Amino acid sequence: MAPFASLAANRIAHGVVMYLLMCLAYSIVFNGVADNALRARVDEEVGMALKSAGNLSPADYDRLRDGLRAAKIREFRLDEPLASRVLLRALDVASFRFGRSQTVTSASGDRQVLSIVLEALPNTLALFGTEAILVMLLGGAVGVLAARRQGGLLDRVASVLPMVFNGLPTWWVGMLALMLLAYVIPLFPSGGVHANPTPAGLAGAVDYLYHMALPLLTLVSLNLWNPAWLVRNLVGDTWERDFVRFARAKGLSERRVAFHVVAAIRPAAATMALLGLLQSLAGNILVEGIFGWPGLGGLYFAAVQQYDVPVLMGVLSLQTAINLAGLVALDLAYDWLDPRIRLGGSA
Amino acid sequence: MNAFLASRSARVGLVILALIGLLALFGPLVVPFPGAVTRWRDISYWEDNPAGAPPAWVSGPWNHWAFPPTGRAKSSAPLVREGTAGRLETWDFRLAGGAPSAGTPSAGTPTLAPSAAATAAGGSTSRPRDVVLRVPGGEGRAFLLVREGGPDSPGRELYRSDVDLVSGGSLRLDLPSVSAAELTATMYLTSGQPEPGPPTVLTVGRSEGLLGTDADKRDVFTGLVLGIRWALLLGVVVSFLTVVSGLLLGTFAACYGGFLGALTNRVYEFFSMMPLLPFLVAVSAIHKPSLWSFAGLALLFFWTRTFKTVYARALQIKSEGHIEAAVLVGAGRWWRVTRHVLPELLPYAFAMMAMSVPGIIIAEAGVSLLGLGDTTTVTWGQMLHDAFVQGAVINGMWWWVLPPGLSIATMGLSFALVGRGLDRVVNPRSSRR
Repeated sequence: MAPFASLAANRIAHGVVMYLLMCLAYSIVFNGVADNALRARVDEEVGMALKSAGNLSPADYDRLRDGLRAAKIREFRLDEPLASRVLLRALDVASFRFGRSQTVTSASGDRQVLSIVLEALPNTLALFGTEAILVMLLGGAVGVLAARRQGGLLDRVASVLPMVFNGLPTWWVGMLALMLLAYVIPLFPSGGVHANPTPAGLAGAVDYLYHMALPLLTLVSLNLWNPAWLVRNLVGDTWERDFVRFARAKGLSERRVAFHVVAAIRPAAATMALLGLLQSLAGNILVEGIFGWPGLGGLYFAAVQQYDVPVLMGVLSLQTAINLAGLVALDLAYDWLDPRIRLGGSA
Repeated sequence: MNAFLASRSARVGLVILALIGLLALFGPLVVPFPGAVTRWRDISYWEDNPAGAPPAWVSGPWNHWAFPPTGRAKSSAPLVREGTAGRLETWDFRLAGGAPSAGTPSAGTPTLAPSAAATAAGGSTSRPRDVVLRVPGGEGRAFLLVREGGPDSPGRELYRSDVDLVSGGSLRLDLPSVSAAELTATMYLTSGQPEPGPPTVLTVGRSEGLLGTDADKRDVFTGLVLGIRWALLLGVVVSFLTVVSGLLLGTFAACYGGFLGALTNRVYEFFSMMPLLPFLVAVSAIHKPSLWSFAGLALLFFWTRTFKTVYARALQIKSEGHIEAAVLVGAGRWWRVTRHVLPELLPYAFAMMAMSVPGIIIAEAGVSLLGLGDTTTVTWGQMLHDAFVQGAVINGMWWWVLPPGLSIATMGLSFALVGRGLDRVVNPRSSRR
């Protein structure tokens, strides 16, 4: 197990370095707007402090204003040289100290970006987690069925659809689904996570699922076909391999034989599933924006519209962190699921 | 080439692509509103169209021609009466699509719902329609009176006022809805002015062209055809550049190695691990890009897709027998790369170029959907942005939402088909059926 542990440590460290580099890149690209946002905040906060200061003589007023401004500028580190501003901001972003938002607030009116972001995260995880599970199950089922009857109707459908759907923007299908199934035929809610007022208890959970149904339906019906085609090919290949023939020759039941096949294709299938999940997570801005789903993507959509830089940076770095964590996990899972490529050969 | 053409899907892809290419080149000649090339965002260019109207073919006997197209009214020669102080011209317009008026037109208040008798008679005359009157040219003022009905059977008055004529342009009057089949416009012109041209009357339709109009009265079909060129240009240029850079960098990293090779690999990792769309969106939101700076950004990310394949393949080729033989006969590294490795990789590159186009078009459409596209052009993503923002989804305006997405899908599919056809030729083992 030791080689695996050191391998894991290595991969994770690599991921962390990548994450820091990306945060640095964001900090460089968005340095100008972030500076402007902070300067605007300096003026705003100084103005507010002066308003509450009461009546002052002009000289006192000027002195107070200059003092306050200097203090704020120091607080926001706007007096530092460019390079250190960029570096410090990259570190802040990397460590999730996003500061306060400009316009977007959390449900409770909080303007801490971190709490806004953390409020949105569960919705994204719920939607895309469910999607990933459904895609894996349905995609696996379709793939196996297609492989069992190669050349059959399902097989032909499964061979064409990935290519068709590859050129199809998911969010556009979402728009169509929304138009048709939420407005023309009002079967599903048109957005949000809950009806207003929110039902309590179990009814609330059902309501949440009901609101999730349409985005979920769109995502699953589109994303199902790539994994299905992969599974179909893998199963088709594997079914002809010697160890499967041998298992069958041993007199194992078809069910047991199928387990052999599943074990053999597990690493590739897991890779595909996780990569698919990461991909749809990266596209969640548009999908959540269209469906009004208040997850990270929906928040990003709102932050872009309102030009809220701290929120933008916060969501971006969180998305990056999730993406990198997923890729590292993928790497490790691959090693773990497929003993043949485990380094050190301890298995 | 023959093997490529032998596959049916590749042929289909090529045919669609050829059609798309023709439309991109000759689009301005076939669209009903060629001026849109430069005036897509110019409201005055579109002012005569109905807003948010469905396609013309929606209208038919099945709904009693409920969605008539925009029509120009025909006018008989004017009745002219010269006076001492000026001249009185009376124009009689037959509204397009209307049955010839029989007797006195209804002079009462216009009914909102079409009367059953009129629709049964085959005329849409009693259906209230928006009417626009235009007086081109002229200078100074004129008196204008517009009534329903013919000159001998005056009906409801629609307009009565002095108007300022617009020299070099035209005076445009939105009249109240009309249910009659005939209009009479009377103009009193004082002598000595440069005279205005003959007035025209337009019945604003409830449907427009092949694919209807958007909420800003723009013709969807025109936008669709004009969008082809940008999608095609962006897709082809960016995919060409990304594949070429991916090919060169991948070959370089595989064949030269060393510090620079390792560095290239790290850079690859960096860009391939960064979430593409959020970054594109953030940069576009802050720096308001043109189509070309978007192309540059896309280039920064999309080369990684080719790089990975090329790198792996180049490593393989490098250790094959014929390369070692080349080493033995004294071929230098430059020779080996340019004469052996790159030629073997080129076919892959063509397949990858075709296959990377859809992703680029979708990425541009996605950024445009957020309203962050280049505002000097019309792209499909921007049409969908307008549609989403202006309530096409809520109001079920399918003619505005469906066509741009279908175009993206069709173009993506045709490139994918061609790419797959190429891939089968260069990589026979990958064809499974």
